[in-house]
Amino acid sequence: MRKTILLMMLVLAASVAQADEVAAAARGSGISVVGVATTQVKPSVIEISATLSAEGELANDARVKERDARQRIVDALAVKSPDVSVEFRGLTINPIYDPGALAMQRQQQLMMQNGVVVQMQQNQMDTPRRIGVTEQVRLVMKDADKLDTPKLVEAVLRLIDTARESGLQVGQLSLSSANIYSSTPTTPPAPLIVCKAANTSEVRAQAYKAAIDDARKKAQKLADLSGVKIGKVIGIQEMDPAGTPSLTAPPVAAGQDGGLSSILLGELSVNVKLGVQFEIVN
Amino acid sequence: MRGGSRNSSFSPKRLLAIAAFLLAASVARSSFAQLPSTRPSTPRPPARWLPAVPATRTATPMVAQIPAQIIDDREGEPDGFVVRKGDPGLTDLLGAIDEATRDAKWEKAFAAISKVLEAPTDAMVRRPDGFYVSSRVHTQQMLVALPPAGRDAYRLFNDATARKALEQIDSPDAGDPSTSRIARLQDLFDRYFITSVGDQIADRLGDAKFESGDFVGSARCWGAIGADYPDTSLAASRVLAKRAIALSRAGRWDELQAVKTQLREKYGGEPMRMGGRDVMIGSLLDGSAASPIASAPVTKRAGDVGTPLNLLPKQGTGPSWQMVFLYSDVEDQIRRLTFANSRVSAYNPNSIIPAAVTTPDRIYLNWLGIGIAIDASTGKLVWRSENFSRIATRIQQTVLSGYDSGESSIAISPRGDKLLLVNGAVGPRTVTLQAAGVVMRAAVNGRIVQQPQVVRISARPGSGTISCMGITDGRLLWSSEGDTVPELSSLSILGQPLIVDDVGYVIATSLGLGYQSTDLSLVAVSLSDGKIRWKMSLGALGMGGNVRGLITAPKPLLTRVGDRLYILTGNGALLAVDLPGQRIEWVFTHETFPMLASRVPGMYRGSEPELFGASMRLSGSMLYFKEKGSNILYALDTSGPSLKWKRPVDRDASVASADSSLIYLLGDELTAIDLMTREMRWSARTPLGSRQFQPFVEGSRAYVFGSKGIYGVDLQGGTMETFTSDEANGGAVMRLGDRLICISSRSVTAYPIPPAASERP
Repeated sequence: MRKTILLMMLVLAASVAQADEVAAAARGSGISVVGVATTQVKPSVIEISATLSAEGELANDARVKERDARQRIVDALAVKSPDVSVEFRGLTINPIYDPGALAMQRQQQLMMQNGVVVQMQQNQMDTPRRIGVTEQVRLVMKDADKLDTPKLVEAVLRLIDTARESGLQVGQLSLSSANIYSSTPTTPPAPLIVCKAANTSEVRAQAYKAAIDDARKKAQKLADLSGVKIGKVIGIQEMDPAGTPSLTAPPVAAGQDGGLSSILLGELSVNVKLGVQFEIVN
Repeated sequence: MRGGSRNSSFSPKRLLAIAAFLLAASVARSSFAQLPSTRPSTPRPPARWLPAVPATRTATPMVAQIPAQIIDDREGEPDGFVVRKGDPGLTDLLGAIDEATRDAKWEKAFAAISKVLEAPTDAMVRRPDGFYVSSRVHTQQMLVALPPAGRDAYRLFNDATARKALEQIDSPDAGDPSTSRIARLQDLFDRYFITSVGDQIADRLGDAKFESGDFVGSARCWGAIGADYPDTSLAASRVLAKRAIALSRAGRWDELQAVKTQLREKYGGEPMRMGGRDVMIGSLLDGSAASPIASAPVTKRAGDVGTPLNLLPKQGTGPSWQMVFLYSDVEDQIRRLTFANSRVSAYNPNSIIPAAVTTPDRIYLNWLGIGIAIDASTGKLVWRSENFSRIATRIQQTVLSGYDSGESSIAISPRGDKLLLVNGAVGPRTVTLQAAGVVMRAAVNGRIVQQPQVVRISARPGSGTISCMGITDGRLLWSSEGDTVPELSSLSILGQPLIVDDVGYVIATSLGLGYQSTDLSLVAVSLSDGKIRWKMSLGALGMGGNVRGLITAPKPLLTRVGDRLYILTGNGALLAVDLPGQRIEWVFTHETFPMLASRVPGMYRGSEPELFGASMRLSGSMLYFKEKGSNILYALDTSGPSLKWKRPVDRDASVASADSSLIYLLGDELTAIDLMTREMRWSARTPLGSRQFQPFVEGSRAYVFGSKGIYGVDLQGGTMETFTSDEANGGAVMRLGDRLICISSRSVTAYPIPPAASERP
């Protein structure tokens, strides 16, 4: 029995060694190069993140203020930026703390702990008193690719001004809604501007073609130096920018955006890096 | 020994003077000591020149006008204003009346009632609902509530006297001024309403109050006949119709509706003599324009008043004129001063808005005591009381030093010939005081004579002063800063003055030794010479410390309706004062903005935000008010009086306007609150700069001069338009003819109103 097992292990080791030799022989039969290409594309959608906040002594007051502020934003954008749509992405409701009163209370407690007599008042301010309603808002500017870059920048900046005039807080954290004494880490604010390309499949196709061409040129050069000729492509692998094979790249459906976006206002770049193996023809 | 006797500091005269000083000090301290111990105590360092006197020193003044006793029974009451309860003996008498009435001992009860009504001062009686009413009003209510046997007995005792008193008032020789007539009739009403001529007294008092513009008061008189005088000889239809007219003038629509229904059902077909001709009562109720009884209340909305004209200039319209009073070099100077003193008390010294009043041809400003007159048609300076460059010194010595908040007030006389300016004194001022009523007895040629002892003290900067200027040329007629009106100079004037005929009414505290007194008084000042006509104590005023630890007094507000004056003390109380009778009718105490504990050494004090001052609006019989910094809006029915409701609102808000269905509050938003449901209806964003102004409301719009320009807000739905102006910090806005006048911290600018809106609605 023991002899049988040893024999089987010996046969298995021999077959693995033979497989490695075959693979090495296969690598040796081709030229592997990396083809790189970059294609520029204009963003077709600009998204601006903003915050709408309102507060009141009564929660319903805060709601009315928020409702009317929301309507003001819609009205103002309808007049000044009719091509911009507004997406309201949900409310958060928080108590509002008065930092001054809190600091005073804390100091009062400290003084009392240290034996200082502190005169308390009958109508001492309670905390918290106010209720804040905060809503995340996204302004979406479509057809941005129809504008050249300077015009696009101007339009975006004007939109920011309009949004601020109508009461939106753009690119800043609403202090009223922030729990300043919370020990839980707050989520980082969303980027102010996100540029997106609506349909990148054509641009990507161009980029792939350019990357293959680039690879072919590189392979040809290597073949010329080596005195061999390159044949057909026998292997392609898409790589991430670091150069390692991309195992998790999602498949991009035809006609769909492949998630191409940037926080930089300007043209978007489609970077493609392909590992290509050409056959060596004798 | 001889040397000692020659020493002037030990001469009898000198010793007497020192004694007077000590007495004055002890009296002043005793008045402080009477303040309730529950209130926050303020460290009061002795004045520099005054020797420290132990608080327990017992010195009895020979003649001392000690203020009425303040009783410390404030348990459960809000902090702030202390109601002067008055003579405790009167409270005992009220108890005696109650007891005697229960036992049907009428003679004893009436004797006590007579004592209460004849007492020179009133006591304040606390009701279960938190109101304090005067002992006089309380007694009158007790009389009305007497059982039939008690009424009969009262008539037996008082009918003849009442009849005679009424005849005297009705006699042609009694050519009293209207206020005196009202006071005398009110006195008769309080005493003799339940006598056989009580209905006639009430009717005449109603007429007199109606003529003086006190429609709520007159409606109350005629209402009393209907409710508490069942055996009246007056025509019930006439009394009811008069009440309906008064209620419609007062804007008390709910009550009016009930009275109209009563009139229609009972007397609709009856004729009534009115204005010299007979009219059918039913015809008065049709709501026509000719009827003295106004039509349906729904038409009486701020949003519906007048044609919906928009006074806002068209975008891009240039100013008609601009008058700059803050020159750029002075502005730079103030900015540098502010930078050096980052902790200021409340208002931003860089954006102090002058108080303003207008006449058809001029605009008058009070810029921290500097009077300015501007021609309304050209914008040219007509006169100024001081060089404009002195504003820097004024700001430095008062606002930046924390002595004064920087608020100024101005009022114009009804004749349009005098201006009253109230603001904090720039520097310390020397004030002559009578030593709390102490009378000296000094030996002169072997005789003992009495002479009033006066002391001169130094009042700190920021103490409130009042000045009267001639409107033509800005000539100073009198001022409490000088020695010309010593009695007035001994007071610190607080808040906005109110002028009625030739009398200026102001709220003041006495200037004590080193610090202001907490005793709050209503003072009637003669406009012609600045002399005090009369002065009445209102109570004691709680004061808080500002960011610099200096004691600051609130700025009270005054509103008059007929012969009744409403005083919002700004520190926890609303008082109704009967002006002719010079007595407090009732007091409503309420929560006030907590005084920050600057008195505790080392306590954290952040810089104080700039907030709107206290505000008060009367709409019909409803009085809406909110104190500075308070987060509660109160709605009081003044006819009761009773608290209708209270509601939390933003701290930094001011009552801008009110109508029969909505109340409008201005802060960083202009908001409308439904008076029925008390729910917020809408809000419009109005970013503001300075808070030293009140919005201007005309027709269906409110106009606010904010940090982005002039906002025109439609009061029906809250939609807003903005006219972008050059000034960045906002300020006051008002209409003068066909122009909108904007008053900022730097200039006065006039903008033309669009032609379509120029006609006054």
